[in-house]
Amino acid sequence: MNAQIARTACYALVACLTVAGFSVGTEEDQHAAINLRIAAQPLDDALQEFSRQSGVQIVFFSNVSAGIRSPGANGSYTLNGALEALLAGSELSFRIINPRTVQVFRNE
Amino acid sequence: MTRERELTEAIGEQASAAWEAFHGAEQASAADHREFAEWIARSPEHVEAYLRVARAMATLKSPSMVWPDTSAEDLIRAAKASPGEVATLTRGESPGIPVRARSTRSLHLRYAYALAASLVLAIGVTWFAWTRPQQFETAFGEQRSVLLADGSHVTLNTASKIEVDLRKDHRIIRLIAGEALFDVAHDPLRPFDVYTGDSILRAVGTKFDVDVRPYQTTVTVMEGIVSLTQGLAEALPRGNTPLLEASDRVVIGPTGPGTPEHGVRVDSVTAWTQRKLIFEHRALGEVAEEFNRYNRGRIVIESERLRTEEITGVFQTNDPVSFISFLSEIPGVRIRSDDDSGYVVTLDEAGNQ
Repeated sequence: MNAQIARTACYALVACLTVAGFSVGTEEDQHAAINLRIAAQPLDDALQEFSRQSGVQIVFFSNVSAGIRSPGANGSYTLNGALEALLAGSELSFRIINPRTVQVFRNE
Repeated sequence: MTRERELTEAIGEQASAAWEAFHGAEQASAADHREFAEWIARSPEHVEAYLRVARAMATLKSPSMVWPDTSAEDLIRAAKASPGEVATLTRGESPGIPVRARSTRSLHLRYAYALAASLVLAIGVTWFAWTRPQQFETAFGEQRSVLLADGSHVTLNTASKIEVDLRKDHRIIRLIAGEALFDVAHDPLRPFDVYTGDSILRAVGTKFDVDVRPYQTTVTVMEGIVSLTQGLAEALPRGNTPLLEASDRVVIGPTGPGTPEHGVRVDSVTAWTQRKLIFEHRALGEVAEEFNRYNRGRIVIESERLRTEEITGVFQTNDPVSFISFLSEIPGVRIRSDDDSGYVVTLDEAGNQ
């Protein structure tokens, strides 16, 4: 009897974790944690790496990132937090087009 | 086709014709019987063939089934030893109905023959399919992974088509349309060639992508070496053929190949295999066309100025809506839907910057 309860509890826990793991990809929740491990590098590469690790789409006019380096990001971030970290030190801003797509632009 | 294969196929056809005569037609005439007897008696191969076909048809329901418990050789010997029984095979009884045969042995033989005929038909059809070049294709928006008999792996992108011809001493893939990523299994005895348009790409244990468009073909090498020759002859590459190495890319236009680029970022070329598009300094017009390869609702950018603006980014192939949302944020841009669930993008250039 105990073993059964334990097993059911395990399945439930796994189910919860699985749902939580997918939550970054859902439309509604852009406050979910994104885990990142991005080294300092040219911004173009850092943003591509961000997309690969988070699944979030990224787009910007190519001249916007010219010559700019990103300090990188290591840890757990919200979507806003992640972009702020990656763009820290630059004069660039970002716009969340939708929970799965971000644009980086220069403030003119 | 070799002589041996021609014969096997011919016997197969005859065996299945014999099968048809006995189980397909409403009424087999005495002439059919005679013809069949003559054919069967002509060679042990015929008997064997018919035994195999009959087995495949699995019409034998007799509990005292003789074949395959009895070897083909014994059955053939039995058939040859008693041609009289063969000639008097009667038909019209289906296997489930009790049959009053002249002898138990002839009943078993009849069923055995029926099985043999079926199997020859099955073998004939399968053999026929295996030794012809095989085609693989994807529909619009579809992607497909194919494992070839030599262990090579081909991934097909949207609306693509290949024909695979694996021969004893040569492996030939014709890329007829679209885009494919080739992961070639090493086989020093059999060169691996991709034929596309007028070009022959010979792989030396490599991974490379070939993208065929109406106006040009682009070849990018991920690993290994690929040699490129022009012309349709099946000649081995000569001394001065360009060799493409990992991270090289060449665009083949109407006048032939351009100068190869080096140090290309290969993950953007293979991003499609994960249903992603990675753009680095790509013109918006080209980006729209990429989305149009995967989505029926076409994006058309009417403004020439907008079309030439370059962007960098990462998108899913199936999310053109997000791309359209991005475009709509650009000052002066207007987006309207067209009748086929597509988008027309214009730029209001009159002083809106």
